[in-house]
Amino acid sequence: MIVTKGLTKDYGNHRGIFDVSFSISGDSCVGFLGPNGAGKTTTIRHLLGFIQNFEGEAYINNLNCKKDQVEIQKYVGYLPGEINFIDDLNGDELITLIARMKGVNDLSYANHLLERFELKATSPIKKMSKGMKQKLAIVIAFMNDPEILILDEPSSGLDPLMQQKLVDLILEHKKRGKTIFLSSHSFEEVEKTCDRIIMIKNGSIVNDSHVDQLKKEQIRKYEIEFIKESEAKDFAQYYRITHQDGLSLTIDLQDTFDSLLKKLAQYEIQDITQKDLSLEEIFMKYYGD
Amino acid sequence: MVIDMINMALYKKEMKSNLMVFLIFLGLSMLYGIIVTELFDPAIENQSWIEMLRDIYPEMLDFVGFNIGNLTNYQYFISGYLYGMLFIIFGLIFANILSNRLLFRYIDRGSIAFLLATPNSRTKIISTQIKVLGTYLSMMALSMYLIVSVFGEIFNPSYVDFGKLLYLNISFFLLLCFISAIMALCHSLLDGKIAVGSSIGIPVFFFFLKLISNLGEQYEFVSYFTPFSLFDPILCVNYDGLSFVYNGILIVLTAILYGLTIYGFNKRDLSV
Repeated sequence: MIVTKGLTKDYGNHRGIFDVSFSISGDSCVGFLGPNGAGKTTTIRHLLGFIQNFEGEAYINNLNCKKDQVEIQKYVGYLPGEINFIDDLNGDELITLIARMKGVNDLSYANHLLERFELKATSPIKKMSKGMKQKLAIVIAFMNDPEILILDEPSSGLDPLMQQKLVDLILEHKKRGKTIFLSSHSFEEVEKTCDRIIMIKNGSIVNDSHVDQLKKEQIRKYEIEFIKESEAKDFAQYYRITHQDGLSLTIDLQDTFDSLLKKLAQYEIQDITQKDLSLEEIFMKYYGD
Repeated sequence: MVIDMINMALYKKEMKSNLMVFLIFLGLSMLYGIIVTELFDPAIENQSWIEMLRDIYPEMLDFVGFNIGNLTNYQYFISGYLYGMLFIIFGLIFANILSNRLLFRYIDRGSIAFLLATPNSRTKIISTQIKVLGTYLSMMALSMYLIVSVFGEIFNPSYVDFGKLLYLNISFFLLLCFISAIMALCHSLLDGKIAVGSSIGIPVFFFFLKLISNLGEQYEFVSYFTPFSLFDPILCVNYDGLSFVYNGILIVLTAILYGLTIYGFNKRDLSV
């Protein structure tokens, strides 16, 4: 269980986090979404006890995040947003060191994760690519099978195949009743794993709702390329066009997709693509500026 | 208690990771240590080269602590030529490199996050790092002791007083601990260039004050403003009572500075 009450850390110039309050119950996976610099990592640093001087309160399993970190760390697996390893070791040595520091004697799950993410940890960390380091950080966060997982942009640097493996791993842990708090700036990543999304912007929480609810409200964007200009013009009468480039029209779909398909069946279409809304755009749509 | 707070896995890792730095400094100390011990010659008639230097550059010899009263005493000779400047500079640089590697690098790069994301308190983590630093400084002082005593005995049998040299090196170790405490304080509580600059700048500044205070009576007052005055090799090799007082002060100051380091590190925000 993770609880924050009125968490505030003011770095000046409107930077920091302001009155961040949320509560995450035992067996849920919650996404923490926000653009770069919104305050995701700062909030997470409070939970991990890295920040000691702040207003408000933060608790993990009813333990105070400021004072009880030693006890809290027995339950938590943490994946930092910026991976900065002790680089004079190789991957295996680092895993062994952290395992010993965590009091983990059985490395079989760590080895399973290494295989799963196809990571050869015998090479020196200095020579590892960003993706390899990210995988190593994933192994370290999950290796003691913690009750609570705090993951700060966990898929950063991973290729799509590995991103999928990570999603599967998160879903597995979710199924086993773990509490997962996952920050991201990718709506898609969070959508695949989380039941609930907390959105943060300029240091303040702007929305806290279930994924289903957000999906319902989400506006989908499509780019449709027509063959005939007359048909493009005709189509434009029925939908709100947000962008036009020759015969290519971009629309915001608020209607059902089925109705769009039926409408398009009346015309000759060259191509249709779904355009992902960036998180910024979602913010703009939902909450304005 | 802070004294017995240690994470053995981390301690072993750090001892291994910093061994190469120690070996390099050990090599340097051996090289210079052996040359200087070999230079000692108790026969007065063979010391004309030093007399010549004294005549030409009296201030320079004073400045670097080479102006020694009694050149026929091995302990005095070593005190001036090795513990006056050379070994202090080696110790200072060695302590700074270690403090940088053990404290600053972790905090600055953010890799401390991985250590703190384990069920070990900040106090335990930083105490472990400080203990690695202390272990290496004691190994350095012990090595220096072995170099000056063993090679002294080889080149000049019967001139070496093992007990006095041991006491000299224990005092030297206490000085190194104090210097390292200044560095640890800067490295763990300050950020970026300020941390790096002050950790080396403050001890070097104090050391220069010590060198200036060597220049003669009119500059002697400067010695009151530098903690390096608390290590006086000549007092040590004479078992002078004052050297025991100095060592006591060094121990107290070191404990205070390390206490502040641990306290400050516990209270600070870490952007990692």
